[in-house]
Formats: sequence, C-alpha cells, structure tokens
Amino acid sequence: MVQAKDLEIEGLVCRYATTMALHGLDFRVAAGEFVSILGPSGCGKSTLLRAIAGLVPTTEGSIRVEGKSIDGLRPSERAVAFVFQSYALYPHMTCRANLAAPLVMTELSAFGRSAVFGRLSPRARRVQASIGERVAATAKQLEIDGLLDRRPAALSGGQRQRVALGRALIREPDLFLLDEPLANLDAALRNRTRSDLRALQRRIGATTLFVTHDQAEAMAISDRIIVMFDGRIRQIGTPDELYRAPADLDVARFLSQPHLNVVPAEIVRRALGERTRAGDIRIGGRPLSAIEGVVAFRPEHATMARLDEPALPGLRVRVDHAEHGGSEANLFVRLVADDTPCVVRIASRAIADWPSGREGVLHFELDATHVFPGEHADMGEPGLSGRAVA
Amino acid sequence: MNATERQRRRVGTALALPAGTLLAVLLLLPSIGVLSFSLTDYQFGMPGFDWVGLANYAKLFTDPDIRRSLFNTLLYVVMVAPLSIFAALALAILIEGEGRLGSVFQTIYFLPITATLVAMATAWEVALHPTFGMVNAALSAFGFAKVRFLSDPDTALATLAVIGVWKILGYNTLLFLAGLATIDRDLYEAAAIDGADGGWGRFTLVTWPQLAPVTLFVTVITLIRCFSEFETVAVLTNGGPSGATDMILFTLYQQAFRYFDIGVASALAVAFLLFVALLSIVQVSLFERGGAA
Repeated sequence: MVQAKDLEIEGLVCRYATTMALHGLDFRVAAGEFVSILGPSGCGKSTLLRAIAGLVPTTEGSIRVEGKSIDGLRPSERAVAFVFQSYALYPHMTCRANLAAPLVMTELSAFGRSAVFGRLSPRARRVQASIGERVAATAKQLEIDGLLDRRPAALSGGQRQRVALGRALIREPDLFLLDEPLANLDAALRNRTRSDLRALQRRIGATTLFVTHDQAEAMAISDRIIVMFDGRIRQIGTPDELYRAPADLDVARFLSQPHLNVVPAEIVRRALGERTRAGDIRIGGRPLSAIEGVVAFRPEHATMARLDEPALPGLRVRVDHAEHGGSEANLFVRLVADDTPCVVRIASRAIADWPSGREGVLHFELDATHVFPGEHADMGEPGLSGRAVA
Repeated sequence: MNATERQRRRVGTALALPAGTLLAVLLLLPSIGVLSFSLTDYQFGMPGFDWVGLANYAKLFTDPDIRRSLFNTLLYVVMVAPLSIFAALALAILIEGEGRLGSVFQTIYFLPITATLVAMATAWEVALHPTFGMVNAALSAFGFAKVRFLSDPDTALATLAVIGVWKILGYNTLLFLAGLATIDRDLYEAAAIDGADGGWGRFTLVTWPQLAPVTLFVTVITLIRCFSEFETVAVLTNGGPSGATDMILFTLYQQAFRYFDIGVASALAVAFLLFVALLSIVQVSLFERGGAA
C-alpha cells in the first residue's frame, strides 16, 4: 500500500510551434482516486498525461503533487509511473531485467550497472540484491513470476501488459499514469483486465489517471471522469453524473456511443404540441414552447408504438432496419417529418413487428431527455447548456 | 500426378526458363569457369594449359608479393572498418539530435557516395600533392614539414585508409540514421521515466540494443567493402610506392590483366569469393538468431 498523494493541475497550457495542444486545464485529483481522461483521439488526453509525466514540455500553468510543484523536474524525479499503450518494454531484455530497469537506472551508477564493476563493489552488490527481492515481490503480486526469464516477444499481449504494469508499480510511484493500457488487448481479455486493474489500484491505493477513448471502459472503472475535446476539459464528474447530466451535445454524444438521437426542437414541438390537459410539456425542466436548438435522448429511453394505436402523441417514423443484439435489438428509423435518423432499443423478439418500411410512432422519456443549443452553436460554453440539463 | 498438375508444372518451368537461363549463363558458368581456371596454369593468350591442382592456392600463401598484399588489405581493414562504423554511429546520433540542420549534414556526409569515385580520387590527389596540394600548404603554414602522403611508403596506406573512411562514412551514417528512425519513441519515453533520459544511460538502455541488427549489417557491409578496395589504389597509387598499398583486388587485377596469369588470378578470385560468402553467411545466421530471440 503506497502513501496516496493528491494531484492538482492549474492553468496547464501546452503549445507546440503553432498548435495549442492543451488550452489551460484546471482540475484536482484526490489522493487514491481513479480518474479517467476520456475523449476522442487528438483531443489532447495523451498530451496531458505526458505533460504530467514530464515527457512533453508545458508552456504555462503548474502541476502539484501533495501541494509541491513538480514543474521542471525530470521525468524520473517526478515519482510517476507510466504505462504505455504499446507497453514499451525493452525488447532485448528479459522480463526480470525490464521490471528491474527503473530501479537499476536510478539506484545504481553506470559503474554499478556494468557486469564487472557491479560484481566487485560491495555496495552495488547490496543494491542488486535488494532490487532482485523487489522484482520477485512485484512479479508475485502480478502473477508473472513464471515469466521472468522470458523476453517480451515470447509473451502474450496480456502478459506483456502485466509486465508493463509491474515495471510501473515497482517504483512505488506517487502517481500512476496509464495511457490506454487496455487498447491492444482483445475484447474478452480487455474486460477482465480492466476489473483486475481496478482491483489492483484499490489494493495499492495509488492515485491513478487513466487515459482512454472508450466510454464504456471509463464508465466501468472510474471514480470520476474528465471529458476532453480539442484540448479543453468539457466536463468532470462521476460516471453517473456524466450519464444523467452531460454538459453539452459533444459530451452526450460521446458518452452515448454508438447512438444518440438528436432531433430539432421544432420537429418535436410540431409533433407533440406545446401542452397537454395536465399542463405545459416540459423537457429537461423547460417548457417545450421555450426550447431552441435540439433535444437528445438515448435509444434505451425511446419506445415504438403502432401507428393505429398510439396512446400518446409522438414522433412519426418509418422503419429502416433492425440490428439484433442478443436479448435486445436496435431499430433504426427515420422521422417522417425531416428524415432525421433515430435509434430505438426494442426487445429482440419484437423485430418481426417492425419490418423495413413500416411506419410507427416513437415515444421518448421526457425526463431522460436533454436539451442543447443547435448543432452549430458554440459548444465551448458548458454553462449555457448546463442550465438546460434536467 | 494428374493432368492439371502436370500442366501447372509445364507452365511453371516455361515461365522460370528465361530467368534461369540468364542466371546460368551470366553467373553460374563464369563462376565455374573461374573455379576451373584456378586449378590450371593457364596464361592469357597461350594455346594450352595444364592442370596443376592446388598449386595456385599454395602460391597465395607463399608468394611474397601476394602475402604482402594480403597483409596490406588486413591492415587497411583494421584501420578503416572500426573507425568508419563507430564514427558513423556517433554522427548519426548527432545528426538525429540536430533538428533543422540535420538533413543538410546528412546530404554533406552522403556526397562521397553520389560522386564518381575516380573524379573524387583525382581531387584527393590534387589536395594531397607534395608541392602544390593544399594539405601540405596548410601543414607548412603551421610550421610542419611537408608530407609526401601518397609517395612515402610509411604514409601511403594510412592516407588511403583516411580516404576509405571518408568514402564509406556517409553510407554507414545513412544506414544508422535509418535504424535510429525505426526505434519506437515510446521506448525513449519509458527510458526517461525509468531514469535514463539522455546520454550514456539512454544509449545503453535503448539506442545501442535497438540498433544491434543495423550495426551487424553495417559491419558486414563495411568489411566487404574494405576487403574489396580497388579504385583508390588503382587511381592514386597503383599499388606503390614499392607495393606499400598493394591490396588483394588490385593484386588480382594485376595478375590477370598485367601478367596475364589467369590461374593465380582465378585462385585469388575464388578465395575472395569464399571469404565474402563466409561473411555473408555469418551475418545471415547471426541476424536470424537475433530475430528469433
């Protein structure tokens, strides 16, 4: 169990020759917290991780661990561990040597490392013995003790990933930085490894930043998630907060992969009317009559009703096709009004009721629906859309 | 074997025939010819010859001129190969670290490869000339005695070695640069986090091991090129002064086209071919062992 430390980022800017990679990021990660950084490729999430590790220079701002600035320190002095997507294991060295590398490089001098002098000096011999013990302990913890004498090329993807984790763990770092460490594993292994990873993180208690572009992965294992687009933070929150109250359309879309239904408010207004006998129709806390822009709802919050018996007014749609997904299915439909594509989650046994071309009525849960300014409006102001969210 | 299989084989043979014939006529037959000549005392222009067995090969080890030529070649290789390999590695690392000017340096060091060597050798001859060469002008300007680089037996081979390094350095540098470019950036970042963010630590942890296959290739290529040095000898010294720069390929050329002693020349050629083949086999086997590990 390591002594967990907190991390504070303030006004962090990364600028390369002409492009801004990070536009002034601010956030805090509590000691022992597991935080995912989620965003599409090119959003700067890897750059952020590399900036914290000291691998890319920052232009402005500060990075503090437990209140102490680590700006300007060399990567090896920052007490951070980094797991690369490619694992970056040294291919010419055995797993044992790979695990030992961080300790060997920091605790032994160039003479101590050499085969001849390392054996002659009593101090170097003592350090080597202690390194050997720590390698054995780490290998045992990760259940890779049987692989120590193999080279990375002789290991499976999952085994390599464990060795890479071990090389990170062995330094007993303040911060654990993981750059898409699961991306190179196949789907089945990825799901198992991510729970293993989370269990390991809980056991050692290290503050962890986990970069991923897979929203399901981030939702599954994070205490909190930082959503990034174009080098800016769009939203920070727990998985539940992000699911229930996405800050803007980009975030909502990204978290609702593969499908989010986005319908212009005007179409909804025309289909539903503005009020019922019970009162104004309200979406996301606002009367439908006052809503500009678009409304967005997930496939699981939509249902289909037959055209001849619509219990309530809804959006009139025509079925395009269905995708079977086991117990459930996705029904792809288009609005009759303006051809907007939508997806409805239906029971897979209901596929036969909705052949291609049939018309029906789409209902969606107003409480689980979000309102955002139009698609082309400036998405950079989360405050505006944040108010609109239910 | 059914009919279609026979048909396939016939077509395959027909398609392979042109290339096979060319291989036989241009490579196999001459090689066999040389191998046969090396076992005779055939002299160019003579009407007949006798089989002399391995006498020509024995002569390679007993003839004082040929022994000196072999010794010169070895000396030349020992001077040129290590220097041109390690200097090229150092240059490649420097050039890679240098951002914008890197490609300029790369071009400059590569120039000797693209230039015609005979023309460049003439330029060297002018530069090194005892009376009006600029190297000697520079030496005397700093108060040193003039050196007859190419005509003094003590300096001639060393001078050729310097030119040899100059000739081969750019090529080796280019190979090392290509090798450096293939090293995974993540490995350097991992090394930086592990405490090797530059200098000797990073070189020993990442660069040198990752360059091992390239280094092996460069070493073999350099050895072969050094052993087969011919042009500078032919153009600059003609093997002189008094045999001080006589090297194996030049001896071969002299034996064949000056003394018309085809038997001895063929024996030299076969020995040389075996040596180069041996080097290549060593390279391939080392390379495959490295790849399998």
